Amino acid sequence: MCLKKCKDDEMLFETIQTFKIDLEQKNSSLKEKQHDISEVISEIQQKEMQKDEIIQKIEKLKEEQAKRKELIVSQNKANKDRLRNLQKARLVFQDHLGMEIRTILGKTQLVKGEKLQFVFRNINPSDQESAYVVTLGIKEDGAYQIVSSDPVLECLPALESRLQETNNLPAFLANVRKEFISQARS
Amino acid sequence: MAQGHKFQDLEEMGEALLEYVNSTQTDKLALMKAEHQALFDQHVETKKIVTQILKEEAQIEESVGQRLLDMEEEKQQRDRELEGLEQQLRQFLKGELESLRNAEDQLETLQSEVDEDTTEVIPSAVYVAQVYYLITKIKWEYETPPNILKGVHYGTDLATPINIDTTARSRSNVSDQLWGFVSTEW
Repeated sequence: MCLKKCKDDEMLFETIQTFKIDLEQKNSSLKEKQHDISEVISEIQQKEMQKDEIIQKIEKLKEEQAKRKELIVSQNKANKDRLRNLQKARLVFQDHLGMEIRTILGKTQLVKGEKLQFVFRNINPSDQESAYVVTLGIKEDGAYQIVSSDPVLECLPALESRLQETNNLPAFLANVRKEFISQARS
Repeated sequence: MAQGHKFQDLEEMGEALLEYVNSTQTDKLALMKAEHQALFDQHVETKKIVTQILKEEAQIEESVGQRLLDMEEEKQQRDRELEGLEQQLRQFLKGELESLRNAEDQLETLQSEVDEDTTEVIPSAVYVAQVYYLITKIKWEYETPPNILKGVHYGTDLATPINIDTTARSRSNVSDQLWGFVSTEW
């Protein structure tokens, strides 16, 4: 009977040992888990902070962009307004004065006024649309040079020399128009 | 007679033995028995206590096990939270960046338009306007009803207002009138 009691006791002690070891393991697992949780929580906090930072940066970028947009939009509006008025005036001249001005690209880069074409309309009362053209070139020194006319004007060379003498473009054009008219309306 | 002696000896020996056993061993045995009993009682007591400890330990074991499970659950929850946050952040960033980029593209396009207008279209239109003024010395008013031509001719000595209703007149007629302002004299 003593032996049996001994065996029972031994089992009890073994169980106690097992519990002890198991509890130690569980405790260290607990500590680990607690640590993991803390890490994740701190990661979450970091991400929240990053998120706020990024949101701020984006807001700033948006603000800057909005400012730039305002500037560009107002520049565009000013340009378009100016162009609208310039275009209006140009049309009035074209339609009612009956003269269109064209700048023609030379073979090299376009230099303002390298070649100018003056297209007269409203010359022939029975065909207002028909075009009467005279083409000029402007040299580097600003001197005018007649290139051609369509229809051909016989007096053109004479007009050219007067133009080159006086540099009076308005008078030249008025005279050219007079010649076109006398051709068309005779 | 000898048997009688032997028997007497035996009796005496027996009595002596009995006396001996009764006198000494009994004490020892009684002591042993008492000690044994005490040990047994102590043992039972100890066993009770140890069993109690084991019970409590089992409870602790259970609660620690539960705590471990709870912690694992919490950790997983936090992990999900973190993942959710990261995804949210990624989506948000993607959206914002795309919107910023689109806005930037739009701005670039508009800026090109502004640049083109500023460097080419407007200067060209201004040049043409200057040529028209050079030739005609006429400045038009901007806001006028459709068929009314309103402006001013800036002659050398005189500024003449222009006010023409084009509805009742032919195109060449209006052109002739306007060209009237340009002298054919060189």
